[in-house]
Amino acid sequence: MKSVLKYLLIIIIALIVGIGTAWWALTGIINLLTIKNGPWRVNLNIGTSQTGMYLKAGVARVGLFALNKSEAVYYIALEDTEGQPLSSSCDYRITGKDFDARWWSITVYGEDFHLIANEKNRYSYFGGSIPRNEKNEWTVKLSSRSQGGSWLPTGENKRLVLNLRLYRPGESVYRNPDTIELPRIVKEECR
Amino acid sequence: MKKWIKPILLTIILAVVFHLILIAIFPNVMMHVVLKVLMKGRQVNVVYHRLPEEAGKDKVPMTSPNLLKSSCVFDVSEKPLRIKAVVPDTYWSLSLYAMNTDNFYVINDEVASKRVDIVLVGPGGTYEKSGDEEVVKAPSERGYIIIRMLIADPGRLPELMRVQKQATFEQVQ
Repeated sequence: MKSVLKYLLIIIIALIVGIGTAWWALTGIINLLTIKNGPWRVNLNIGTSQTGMYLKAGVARVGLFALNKSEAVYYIALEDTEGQPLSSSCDYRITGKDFDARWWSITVYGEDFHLIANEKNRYSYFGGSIPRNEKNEWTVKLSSRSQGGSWLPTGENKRLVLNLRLYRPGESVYRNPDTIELPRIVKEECR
Repeated sequence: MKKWIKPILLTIILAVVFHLILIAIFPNVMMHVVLKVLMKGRQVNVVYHRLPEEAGKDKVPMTSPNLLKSSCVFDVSEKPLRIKAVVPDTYWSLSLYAMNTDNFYVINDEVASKRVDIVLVGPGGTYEKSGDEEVVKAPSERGYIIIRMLIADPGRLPELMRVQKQATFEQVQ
């Protein structure tokens, strides 16, 4: 009887540790996006059969139905250019140029990786719809308060997630995902 | 102290095994759960046309609100599924996902002709080609199909929705 209880206890502890560490591994999906480019992270194996089991599980949790890299490359940012977590209590200015891709978009999500409710129903910008300055640069503002220009509302989320999607990316994206010029995410004002 | 070594080792080995099993089965489990949610009140092998994603209605994390999507849960365990769609003059793609979440097939407007005609066959199924249709073998009997169209200009939404509705999914008899 004592022996049965001992083995039962071993199984219960192992199950708790197994589930706990598996969940911890899945919540840290950003660490599975192994290629770093400033505040942006990417993994070119998303959506393919070459995806490792951890990445596949992580993508199943937060990015189900991702396309493979021939169709789209997903750069994710959870931090600004200074390495500080993105938060709706701060305003950000995202500035960049066009990319070697057929088209691109930038979308903001809440900490649950879902779209953030707002009166304007605005969650994302298609690259072709953002005005350019004389240097051919575009700017998107991230703020919980109404802003002029291209503004993405951030609601009341503690943490924010940005997804820069490059559709039909060109060779330079595959070859140099860690060095291609990506947008700067500059923190402005915090409340 | 010595009597504790064996149970501790056994606990660690079992925890590693449980951990690896959970990570390995998670994509399939997640796919089953999500498809069940997406299928609520819907049928398999029927295409459903969706409006652009909105907060509160996005059932899947990290969806793209710039795309107009049509989707279908496929089941080709008994009969192949014939997919026909009209390709618009904007970014368009049709992608197929297996139950392990792999994006096993994708075609876009750059390579597709004006009309796409695909027959999706199950892993053990057969299909005799009769015309120009493309035959695609699915690695799993069930899975998910998404047709995506870029909404570059919101003013074109009604036109894109008309194109979207021309897609037909039918089981091959």
